[in-house]
Amino acid sequence: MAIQGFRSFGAEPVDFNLDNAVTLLEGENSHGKTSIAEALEYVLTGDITRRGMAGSAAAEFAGCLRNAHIPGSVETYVEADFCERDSESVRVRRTLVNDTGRNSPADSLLTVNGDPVVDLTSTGIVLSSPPIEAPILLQHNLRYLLTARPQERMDYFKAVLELSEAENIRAAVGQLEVPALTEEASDLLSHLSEVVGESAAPAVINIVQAASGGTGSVRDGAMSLTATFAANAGIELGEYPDETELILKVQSELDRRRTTVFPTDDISLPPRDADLAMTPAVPVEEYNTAVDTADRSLFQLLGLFEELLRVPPIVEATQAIDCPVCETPSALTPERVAAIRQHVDDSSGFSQVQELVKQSLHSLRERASDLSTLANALPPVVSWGDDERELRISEAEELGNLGEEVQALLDETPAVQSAAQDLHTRAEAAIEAAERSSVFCAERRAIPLELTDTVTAMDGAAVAFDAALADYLEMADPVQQALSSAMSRHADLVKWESAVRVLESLNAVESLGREIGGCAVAERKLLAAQQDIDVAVQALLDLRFGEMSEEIAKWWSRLRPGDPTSFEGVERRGTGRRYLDLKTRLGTGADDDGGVVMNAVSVLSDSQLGALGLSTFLARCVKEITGFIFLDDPLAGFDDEHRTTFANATLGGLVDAGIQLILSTYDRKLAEQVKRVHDHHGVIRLNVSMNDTRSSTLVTPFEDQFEALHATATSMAKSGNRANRRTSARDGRTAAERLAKQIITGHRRSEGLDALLQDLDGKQLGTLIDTLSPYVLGPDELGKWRSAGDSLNPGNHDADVPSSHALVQALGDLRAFKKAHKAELGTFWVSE
Amino acid sequence: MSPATDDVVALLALVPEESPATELIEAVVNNPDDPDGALRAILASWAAGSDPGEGSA
Repeated sequence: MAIQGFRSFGAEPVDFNLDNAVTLLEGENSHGKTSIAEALEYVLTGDITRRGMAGSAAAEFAGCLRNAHIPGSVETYVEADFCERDSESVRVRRTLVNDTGRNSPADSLLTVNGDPVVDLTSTGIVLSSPPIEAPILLQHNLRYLLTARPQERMDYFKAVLELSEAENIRAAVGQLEVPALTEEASDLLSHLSEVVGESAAPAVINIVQAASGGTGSVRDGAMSLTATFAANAGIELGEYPDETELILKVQSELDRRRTTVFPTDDISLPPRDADLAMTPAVPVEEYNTAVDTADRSLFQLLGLFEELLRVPPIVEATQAIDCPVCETPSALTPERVAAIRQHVDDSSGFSQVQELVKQSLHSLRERASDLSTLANALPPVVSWGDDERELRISEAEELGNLGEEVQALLDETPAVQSAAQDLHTRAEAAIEAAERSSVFCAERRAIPLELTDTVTAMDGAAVAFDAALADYLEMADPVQQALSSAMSRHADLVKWESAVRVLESLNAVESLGREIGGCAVAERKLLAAQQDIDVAVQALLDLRFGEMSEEIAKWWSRLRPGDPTSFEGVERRGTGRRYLDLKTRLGTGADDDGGVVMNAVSVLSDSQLGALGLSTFLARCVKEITGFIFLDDPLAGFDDEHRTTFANATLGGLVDAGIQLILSTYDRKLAEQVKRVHDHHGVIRLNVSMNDTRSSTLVTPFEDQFEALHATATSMAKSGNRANRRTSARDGRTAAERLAKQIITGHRRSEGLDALLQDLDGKQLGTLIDTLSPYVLGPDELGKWRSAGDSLNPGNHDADVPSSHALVQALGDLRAFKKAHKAELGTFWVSE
Repeated sequence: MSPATDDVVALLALVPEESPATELIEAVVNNPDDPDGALRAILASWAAGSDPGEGSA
């Protein structure tokens, strides 16, 4: 594994091997052990679980992957070689492109053996479902299962048990809905259901089935349902009622029942043929003036003159001829005929006025007659008597609490009635006046001026009637709508209205019925499918939970042998859609004690909960046949006894299962125990250290004493405490001796000698410096070695303890020597 | 039939053979790119009612 710039790792790459059966990463707290675990998470998943589990606090992890202390130009990456047993390894490298945002994961460039890839599919590396995808158990996700919300915990277990797909199917089928009926079909089904008295879907299925089987038609079926309904309600029908008879009787029954419930039609205005527009004026004054100016004696002869002028011999006469009326010889001279024509022409203006008046009076008569009719065409409610009014108000109240509204409407009717009566009277007067005036007009006599007053009075009455009617209708419309609405809900009417609607739909019932039948069948099948899948998923959950429970219980017993509290199982709650319980059995330890089963989360101690979380994680890893497991300080709260059990039984179980184990710990005793117990499998110990927060985490083989000692020495070099600086000097001196041996041995090997570090065992620093003198790489190196030898001297008294400055200088020089010689020697460098 | 995950295979085994659920589950397995569309298509075919008698069982 190689890490650069990731979390606690600095600008230089740090690489180390993890290829033993057991790797122990040892180091103090906050020196970078968890950063290694997270680097492994990152290279596998592109993220760290800590951010994902932070929920609403995820925004606080913005920019969390890159070490904040390194220059911007330094690349941040994690590289790891993965291999299955007996197969070639693949090199996976993930380079940070954009660090995590407030609400977004990091962007990375992922390569496998140098080739960019989208995911790890090509490598054969299989990850688990979120949220814990990699087999890496960190402190914060050890408790996840116990503190997660119920739904998250259920999702986690379903993912672990590979039940997600089954659950997806259950959800997808559960959300399915049969295609909606068209509005027409939906209305028909609703009306049929009213007629049948329950959901008509089964009846429709039967009808459609019968029709498909050739016995009748959907139309016959719908009619039959309606006929049965009507017959059951006491309507007499013939033995085989035809469609016309059925429609007539059902409609008639509905009308009867409507009237019984409330005669809403009585509120409506009857249909009207005429309107209330103003009456055209009669030119009475113009006519009377014409009458006054005309020669009344001539009026009597005007008709005779007009007839004479139609006789051709008279019209064409050029000399005197006999009068054809009085037979007076030569009475009609051309001059006299001309005078007669002049009289007739003078009278034609009068005739025109007379004709106009005649027509106006005719119109007036018709208009007044219409108004009289309109005044009589009132809503029947106007003429309700007191008893009927009281009855209807009571009915309206019962129908829909509409008594007050009907009362208010009835209070409006006297004004309408009064205006109608007035209009009627005025219209009748106008009719009489028009007829009388017509007689005067025919006799070419003056017409009394009172006619105009009568017409004006009638028009005024019409306007008043119109206003009274408008006020009434403004109130009547909403009342009528409310009453109709209430009636549509009236139990006694709804069924009959539905029966009428069904009969009205008969022409379309064939196709609509098939649509309803099909949807009903689909609904029935879908319901059956949903129930069957529900039952099957629950059975599957029980089955898998049982298997998982056995595995968890196995690990629990390895972690907590002899604990009277045992793990009982993972159980679904209800349908298992959302919740599950982790059950534990609380016993007293007595052999015959069955114990009490309780929810684990509520009764277990902290260390027991930790053990349960660990058991669950290990059970999952074993179930998923993971290749390796990384446990990051997993023993918080464990006492000595449980630590020993963990080192022996738990880790033994994992190693025996063929799982490679990486364990990080601050606990040197645990590390020693693991090393001792499992050394025969192959155990490597790595030291994880960091000099200060601005430098990098270092990972060195535990056997590489130089790095381990140098790290310890550096951490105490600046201490103000003399005892600490003495320790720093002592560790630094040992580190210098170790480094000198590595340099000497490396150079000897580069010269072709078969040199070993052990060849220099027992040599002191002074001797070693003399021995390496031929190998120094610069003119001042030897001097610096000797100076470091002087500084790295713990002394025997407080006064002899070296200063921080001298220690830092010496340790810095040692670091530079190592870097230079390691580069110079290349493959001859001796690391152990 | 497309490869089904272990849990779907187990689920199919637990559903009664004659259940309409079988048809729905297989539709999901056979149409991994559009399982919802496949389910809706089956419902539509049921609703089309080519054999209404089927549902009354």
